This record gives sequence, structure tokens and C-alpha cells, in this order.
Amino acid sequence: MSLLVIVNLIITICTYATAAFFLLAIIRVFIKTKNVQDALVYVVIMIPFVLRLLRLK
Amino acid sequence: MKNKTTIVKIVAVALAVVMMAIAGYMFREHRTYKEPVVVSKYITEVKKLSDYSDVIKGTVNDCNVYIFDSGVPGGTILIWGRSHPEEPVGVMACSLIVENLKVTQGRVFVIDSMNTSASTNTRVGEAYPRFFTYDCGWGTMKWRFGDRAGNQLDSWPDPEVYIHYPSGQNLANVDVRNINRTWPGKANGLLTERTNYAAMQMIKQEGIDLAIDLHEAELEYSVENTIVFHQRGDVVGSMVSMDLTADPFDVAITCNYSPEALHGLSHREIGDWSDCVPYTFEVAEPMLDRIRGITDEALLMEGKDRFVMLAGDHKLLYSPIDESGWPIEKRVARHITTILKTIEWNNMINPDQTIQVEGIPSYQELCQSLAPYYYNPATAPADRVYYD
Repeated sequence: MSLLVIVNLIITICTYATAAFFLLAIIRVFIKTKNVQDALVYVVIMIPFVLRLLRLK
Repeated sequence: MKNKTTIVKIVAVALAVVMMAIAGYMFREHRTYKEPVVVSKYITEVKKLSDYSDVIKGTVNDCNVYIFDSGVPGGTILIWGRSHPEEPVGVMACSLIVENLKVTQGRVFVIDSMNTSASTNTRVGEAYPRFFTYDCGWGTMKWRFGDRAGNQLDSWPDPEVYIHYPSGQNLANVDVRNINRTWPGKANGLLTERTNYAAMQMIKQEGIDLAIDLHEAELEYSVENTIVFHQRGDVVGSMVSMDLTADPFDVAITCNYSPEALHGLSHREIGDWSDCVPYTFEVAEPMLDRIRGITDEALLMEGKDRFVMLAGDHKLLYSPIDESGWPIEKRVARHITTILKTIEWNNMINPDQTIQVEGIPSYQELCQSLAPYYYNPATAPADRVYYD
């Protein structure tokens, strides 16, 4: 494997880890919030993170 | 109040799951759909591109290579489509050839789908249809409609600047996933570079004499309805251009030299890095024009658009267009006829590379309908059905 391929692999893994981190953070605030409008916004924000983690593009 | 918030949250999550399921199903269906091809009974062998180099083994771009070997000494030609999967004529023409061809001298290699990864992609913000179909009477042929560049699920991230190997020329970063900017390829590069590398190994190992890369272009683009050739193909390319412009094409097919300083394209690099002479064919596809109207399957297949016509009225296009548009039959017919004419003229100019083919319909027959030349995979013998 070339250096570029290895770097791409590392960045890809980091990106998925970052997506998972933010998804968990959104789920956490979604559970905690008592504001209905905030809860709806958090649900909408979750969708692309879930699709990305499932590799559905 | 607390109960009300909880109920809203549950409903919102349920709705989001439904939306994700629908979107996920549609994305997955597009990515995993397999396109059937009923190969001609005269086919000799079907190989994988990885049989020539294992650098793409196990990847989405390890495509089928359909081989017709007459057993009679002569020339060898390679034809491929779907370098750019938003240019559907390439895959349609190649499928039609694979389903009908008989070779009586020389050898013919066909690759329907050179960059399958790009066919699983789409262009963000362009509202492209996911699939396109052709009514064949027995049912419909269905192909994926993709993008110009490979899928980011297969090759990501792109570099800040794509540096072409081996020239060192700087290109747009997205072109590292554009298979017609990464020739002659790189064994340890990203997916498209490795695909080109494997294809170059095939060209060298099989001693291929002619290579034809099928494309389409927007009418606003100057390289339109033309043959682009490496300088070693200028005689054949010029004769084909004059011959077809005289008869039977109603719109002239011009010819262009491949620019020597523009790297990564098949018509430049294959000729520079092998004995093979490469050609690229272009035909008008109004759906690619920036000023088009509604972007749907009808526009893709019929090539009719009043906004593109209006641009033509103002002399802003490099190709004529009228109410009849650029129907898919005419576009496929032009490419297939240009292939046959290239073989014919190459036979005359390079008789040691003679290739004789049968079974391919004429320009007039193809312009009428493509339906008789695609076969039903459901009723075909199982050993003749392959999937791209």
C-alpha cells in the first residue's frame, strides 16, 4: 500500500469514530432535553450520522 | 408536560427511523443492483479484470471482461463503456455488442462497466435519477445512473490536489476518482488508479491494437460529436470521421488530436504507455448541459429540452438540437456505427490487424429501436447470463 492509501485509511477510521462520537453526544442531549423543539432538531441531526455509520450514502 | 415531551420524542424517533429506512433502502438498492447481460452465443470467455492484475481483486471495480476470439489470426480491439456512468450510451452500446456479436477474424474485448464504483454514486444537488430503463417488449432493461467520479465509500478522502502519476500534472482533487483522468494508473494508488493499472496490464498482456472509450458530452462543450485520437490514430480517425459524416450521420462527427500536455485521459496515456492506439468517441447528451430544465429519465433517454434548444437558438452550443432532441437510439447507433467503421478503416490501413465482425445491427436499424437487440435474462440459458 502506498502512503496515500494508508493515510486515507487512517482518516476514514477517524471520521467514522468522530461520527460515532457526535451521534452518541446528540443521543445524550436528546434524552436529557425537556424542550420539544430541541428534541425534534436533535432527531433530524441524527439522521445523516446514522446513515454515514451504516455506510448508506 | 413530561409525558407529553416523552411522547413527542418517541414519535419523532419513530418518524426518523422510517425516513432512514426508506432513504437507506433506496441508497442500498442503487449500490447493490446487478445489471444482467445475456452474452452472445459466440462469446469465447468471460474474465475478470483482476485476472490481469490482482490490485483490484475483491473491489467493486473488478469488472467482467467479455472476450470474443475467432481463433483466426488478426487484430485485437478493446471497447469499454461507463468511464463516466452519467454518460449511459457507453454501457448500453457495450451491452448490445456483447449480446449480439460474432467475430470471424481477430479478437474483440468488451468491458461494459469500467468504473462500477462511479455508477453507484450520484452528483450531489443535480437531482439525477437513480436508474434508467429501456422498454424491450419482454420487459425493461435497467441500468444504474451514476456520476463522473467513483463512490466516496470506495475511495475517500480525496487529496487537496490530485497529482497525476506519472506526469506530475496537477488536477482537481475530485479527478483522483475520475477514471478518465487516472490513466495509465498506479499499482499502489487509490481505487481508480489501480483500476487503470489493471486495464493497462490487460492491454499489454493481450497485445491489444485498438482501444475505444465511449463517452457523451454536454452540447455546451466543444469536444462534442467527435473522435479524439492519439497521434498514432490520426489516419484511421480522420477517415472514419469523413466517411461517417458523408453517410449515414445527419450531424457531422469531427475529429481531434489528443492534447499532448493533458494527462490522465485514455486517448493520451494508453497510446503513450503501450503499443495500442486509443480513441475516444463523444456524442451529444443534453441532460449534461448546465442550462437544462427538469432532470429526469425522460430527458436522459429522449434528449429533448427546450432550454437547451433556446441556447442553440442563441448559438451557444457546439452541437445542433431541435424538437426531435438527441434520442438514446440515435446516440447508441452513432457510437456502435463509429466502432464498426473504425474497425473497417483500420483493417484497410493496418491489414495485419484485421478484425471481422458480424451480428451488429446497422445505423438505421438501431435508430429505429434498440429493443430487438437486448435479450430477456429471465428466459435466457443461465450459463449465458452475467451480471455487472
